[in-house]
Amino acid sequence: MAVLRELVVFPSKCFRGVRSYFFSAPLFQNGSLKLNESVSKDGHALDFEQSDTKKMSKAMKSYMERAKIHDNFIKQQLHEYNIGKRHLANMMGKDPEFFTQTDVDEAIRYLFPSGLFDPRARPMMKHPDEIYPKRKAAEFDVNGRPYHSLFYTSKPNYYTLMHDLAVKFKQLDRHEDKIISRGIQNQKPTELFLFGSEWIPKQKIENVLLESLTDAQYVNLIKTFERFSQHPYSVIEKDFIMQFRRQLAAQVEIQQVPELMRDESGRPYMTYNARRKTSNATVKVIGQGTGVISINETDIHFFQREQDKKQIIFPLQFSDMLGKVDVVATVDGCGTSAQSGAIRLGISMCLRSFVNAETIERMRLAGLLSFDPRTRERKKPGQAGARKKFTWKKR
Amino acid sequence: MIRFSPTGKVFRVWRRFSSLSANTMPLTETITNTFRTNELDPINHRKDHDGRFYSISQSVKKQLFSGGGLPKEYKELSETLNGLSIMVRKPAIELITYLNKTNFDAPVNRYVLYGKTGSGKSVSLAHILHYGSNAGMVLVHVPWVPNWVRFPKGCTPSVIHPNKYDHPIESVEWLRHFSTQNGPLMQKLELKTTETYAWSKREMTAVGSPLSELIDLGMNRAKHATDCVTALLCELKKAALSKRCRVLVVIDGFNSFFSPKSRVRREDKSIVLPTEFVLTDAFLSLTRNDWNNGAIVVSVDASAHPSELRESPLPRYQLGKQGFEHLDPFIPIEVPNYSEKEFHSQIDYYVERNWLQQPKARTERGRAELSFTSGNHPLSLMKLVAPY
Repeated sequence: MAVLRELVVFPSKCFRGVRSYFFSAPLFQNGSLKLNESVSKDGHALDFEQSDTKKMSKAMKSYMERAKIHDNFIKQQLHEYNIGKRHLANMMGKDPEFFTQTDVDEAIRYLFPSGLFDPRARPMMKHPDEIYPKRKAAEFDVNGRPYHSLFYTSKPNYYTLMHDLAVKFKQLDRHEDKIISRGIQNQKPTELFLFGSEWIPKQKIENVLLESLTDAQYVNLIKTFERFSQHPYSVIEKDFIMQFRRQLAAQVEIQQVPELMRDESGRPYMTYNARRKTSNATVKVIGQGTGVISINETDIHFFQREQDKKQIIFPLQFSDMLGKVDVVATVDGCGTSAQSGAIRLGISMCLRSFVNAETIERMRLAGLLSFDPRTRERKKPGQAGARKKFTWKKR
Repeated sequence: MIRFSPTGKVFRVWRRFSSLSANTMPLTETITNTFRTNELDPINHRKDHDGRFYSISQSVKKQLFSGGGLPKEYKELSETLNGLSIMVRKPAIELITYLNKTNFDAPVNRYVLYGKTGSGKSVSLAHILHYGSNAGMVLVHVPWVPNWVRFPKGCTPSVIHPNKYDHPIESVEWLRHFSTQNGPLMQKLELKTTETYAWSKREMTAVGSPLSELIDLGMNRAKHATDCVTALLCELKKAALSKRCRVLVVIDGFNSFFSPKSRVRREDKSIVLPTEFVLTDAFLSLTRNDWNNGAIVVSVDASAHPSELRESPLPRYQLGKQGFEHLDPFIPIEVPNYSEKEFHSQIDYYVERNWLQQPKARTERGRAELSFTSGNHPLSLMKLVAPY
């Protein structure tokens, strides 16, 4: 366990936000995006004056030293991680060969149970690449000559990407010209279908490029991508484009609307338990009714304020069921606002079973079918309330 | 404009009033809408008048209600809408039926109107008051008992009755109200006192003097006003017994006589209970069923009691043990919320009077919303429809 304790990362020890062009594992070696060469050239020394070379060598030396240290550190971490995984597998009685990251997570959750709210604050044991931020590979050789031709733009990866896009665009144009010149009729131009995904955000692009971008640069990049993906033959570069898009969450499935139940007298009815803040309401909407309402065995005047009565009437009016159904509700907890909100949600949910799909969709758009997740914000120490601060004194 | 009513197949024809000029009374024009009735005499109101409005002329209103009897907001609204129109409702119709069939040789019947606050008890009593006036009965009307219990203008210890308290100012007001209501009738009846009343060493009212003299004395001498009231009620009871007149007792907020507290305090700051008022004794004596040739109609309302005693609108709870034993046996008559027919009738009235001006409020959906939001409760509907 002592061994594990050293391997498991408790977030306070994490390296964060170290910004430097130090050496790390190379990126995108297999993909079409080649940002920089990872292999450090065996630079032949340039003909500089000795003093310059010496100066540069010293700087370079310390640079290389630091790079080496970091590299070794990462290697060591990786080695420890792998060993630790095997130890963990042993402890948990599983096969070390087939011990996956999910198994590791489960084991850590079991061995180091945490009551902390934020998942990122809990103990974790992950691959060093996931914990320690990636850094750029060598950008210049021993003599200080940068590898990348665009190094002096200070954002070589970003500008490379922009240039690549331009080049690819021209390629697609040439492809289109070829198609037209050959008169191939059956090959229809196909635009890339981008529904269900969106461009990855600025932070993610920065992580990929290992460069910080201004907002204007990000916007420019996205615009270029948009223009690129609107090309008639952009489907050819689908893989490339999809690297920079992320899938949106799947559309919310249409909830199954429950079927109406029948009571002894044959009248259809529907029940629902609704909540708002800390109040609970049990609502029963009975069809073939005349608009009778009963709340906690009293009539609408259970709520004295007009705004609370309006909350109750809203779903019935909206779906045109006022005077056609009876409502029986019991509610407790919290205050009148929350109680009326809970009853409103209950009535709306019950009415789904009485109305057609179009009305249900209209109700959903009106916000009648959404649970209101707002709760009372907690008071923070050092403040008078949730947001209110104590009197600020200049001195 | 003809439209279908939401309740059924009734057609309605709207009257268009081009302007609500002063003193334009619907009385003078032929009434063709179904929410009004031509029958202006309450004696003839029957079941088929249920849900319809009948108008009360200015002179009658002045005579009967100038000392109180109509709820304040209701009265103001009637003045705004150019004329007092009362809806004929089931409780009043029931009462009128009973009163028409009463055997006046039998001891007096006591009728108790009960219901939620704002459901229409006071207005029903006003309707009955009009009935009594038209039927030639002497009206003994207390507009609102809590005015004597909660907001007395000055109670003095009684001279005649030990440990009891007078209401000099209220008694004068009440005598004035009595004489306004019964003025013409009293002149016609010419009732005489049956006893001598000695007010002081020098003042007295002899046997056989007209009752109006008694009333005048009370109105002029506040010191003796309460005792005048007692004497008057006593005389009326005797007159009814000897068939010289027929008496209708109408008391609104009767349960206030049995309220657990009042705003009157003695010098030692102890509270005087309503049962220690002389006026209470007087009216309790009159509401006993030891006389005949009359009728007693009272109402009990939760708002007549302090807030601790407002849980239930029912008579037994509101009257308490003492009150219940005093009134028992009585006929309870519930005054419910509006029925659907009554509700639509009320809305029709507001629309015709141009009180409901929003065009949306006049639609079916608007009516449904009003019905739901007010819960068909008369007072709630009146407040909902008000401009502010």
